[in-house]
Amino acid sequence: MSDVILEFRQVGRVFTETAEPVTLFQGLDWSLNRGDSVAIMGESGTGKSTLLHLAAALDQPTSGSVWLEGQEISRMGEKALSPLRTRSVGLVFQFHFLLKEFSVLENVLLPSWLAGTPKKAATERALALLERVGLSHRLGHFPGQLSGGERQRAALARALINDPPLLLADEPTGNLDEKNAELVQNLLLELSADAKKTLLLVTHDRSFAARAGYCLHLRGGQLVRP
Amino acid sequence: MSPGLGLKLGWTAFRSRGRGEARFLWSSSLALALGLVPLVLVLAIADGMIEGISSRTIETSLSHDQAWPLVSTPKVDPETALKVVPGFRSALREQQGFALAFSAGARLGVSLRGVEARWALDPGVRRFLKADSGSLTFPNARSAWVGRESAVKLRLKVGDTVKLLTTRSVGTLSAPRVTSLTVAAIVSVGYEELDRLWVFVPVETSLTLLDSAENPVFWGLKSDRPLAESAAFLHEVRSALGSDWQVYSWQSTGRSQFLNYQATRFLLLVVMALILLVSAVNISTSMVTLVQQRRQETAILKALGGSTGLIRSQFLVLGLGAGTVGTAVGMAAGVAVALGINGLISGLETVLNGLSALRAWISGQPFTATRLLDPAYYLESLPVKFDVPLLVLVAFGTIALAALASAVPAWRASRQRPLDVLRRA
Repeated sequence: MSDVILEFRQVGRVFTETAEPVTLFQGLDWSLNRGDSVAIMGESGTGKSTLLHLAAALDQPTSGSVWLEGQEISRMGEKALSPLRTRSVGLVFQFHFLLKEFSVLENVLLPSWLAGTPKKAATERALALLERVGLSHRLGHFPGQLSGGERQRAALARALINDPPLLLADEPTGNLDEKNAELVQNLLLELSADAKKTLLLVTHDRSFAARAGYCLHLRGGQLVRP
Repeated sequence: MSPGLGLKLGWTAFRSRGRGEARFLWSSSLALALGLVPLVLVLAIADGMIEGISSRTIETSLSHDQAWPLVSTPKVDPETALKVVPGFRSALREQQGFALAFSAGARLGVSLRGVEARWALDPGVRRFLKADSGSLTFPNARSAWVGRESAVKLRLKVGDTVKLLTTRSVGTLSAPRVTSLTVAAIVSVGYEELDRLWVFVPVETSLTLLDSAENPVFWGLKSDRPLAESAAFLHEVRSALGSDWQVYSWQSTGRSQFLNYQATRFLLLVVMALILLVSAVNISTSMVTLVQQRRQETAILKALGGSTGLIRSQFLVLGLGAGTVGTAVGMAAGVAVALGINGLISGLETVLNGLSALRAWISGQPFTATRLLDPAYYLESLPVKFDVPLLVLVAFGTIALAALASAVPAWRASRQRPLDVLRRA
């Protein structure tokens, strides 16, 4: 198995929907090794989230290619991307994006349903994860009945339910108060380290970034060491 | 992917809180159900009426078949010759023509029917032809049975005398003849359009009143076989009677009438189908709204790896669910309304007449009773007949229509790019 889990080859991303085309990347070459944890920092509008979306195959580059676990995901159709998103990537956004009609347990189980994981094994793993993030007493609650920090912890458990090799987190603590932010940061870093996940983290928080394995700055469409 | 996941995701919309998704779906179902009720009702009543009118027409007017002699003295007598035909019941002479009937100060053009006395004993005739007063016998050759409406217009009752003016050819001239008859019965088949101008006399009497050259005698044939087997019966009758006779089936003698019924039924169905189509459009509109409202959920599902098939299936499940619920409710309500339609009309008539009576009492005007089912146009009560295979077809067609109406919104939802929504959130 290759050490590289994620690779950007000559990636360009230009947004043409605006009046003036906006170029975020031009010929970006970058790779992420398996098991690494990296924090991406940079000013607003430099393309940090877009980088993450490209890695999750939610967006496609205007030029170049993105490779995940040896597969060129930037050329894949929706049919092939669905199982890839389910099994290879765990996503945590700034907003929790839990389904409001589903309970906490159901929300955490949702990716396992999409992956077709046997019910018993999935439920055991979901319960263990919810225990780990401190929500075992909230299994039957709905997102509307949880605090912001609890929702984000549930989202973190959901991201890990299918045991994906790559965890992508986009400002996961951006909407939280200091105490809850610290709790979520600790959980994110500990859980990814314990499970030997590759973590790609986008954040504005320097102290949070400093806790990652290494930190990169996105400047002028290129990733550079600070 | 779990096979029931689309169903589970779709079902969540029904138990969702706060955005009225369930309300959208329930109202779509209700609209579909309301569209189905008149369709089932019209279908049941149209079928019942067509069957009721057709049966009355065949049994009391057209006969199952008619045998017309092509020569003045045919080689065979129908009654004797047809005894060999399986299912043959009777062959009775009949003569039909027109006459002017008049009585105390009233006159009316009538359809004169000369029939044999035992015609009224035929089970098919007895089933439908009823005597309001008097009895269905001819006490003598100068007796007549008068249709209910004719009796009202001519102010006749049993025992009264009615005069008939007929014409017969004498050489090149037409000679009028007036004959006095005694009313032996006032009759009705329960469908005024059919019997309002009928005056029955013994066929021996009609032979003296009508010109046989212009109004030839024919034989009305009856069979014990189901009407569906009439083609086989007709074939055997033709073989038994030979070339001296021309035989017509009820389908050919009443062809234009029956085609008219079928065309009316078809047009009614088309109108009702259009109502259903509008209901299906309503489902489609609700689904479009639902797809719009659930954009974020759809985006989340896709971001988590939900396939386009899953996204499509959850909306199709919703449309199908709304369609199935609407169809079940509409069918049940339609059948219930159809079964109770005569009671409903009677109740409505009572209420309307009560209000009219009250208004008449207050204003001092005379009260005139309202009849919602005017026997001039309808059977005296609305007959109801359920064509079960057709109703099943309508039910499945409606559900399919609902699924089809959801297909386009479902497809559009599956094409949604998750990032477009997630970025805005």
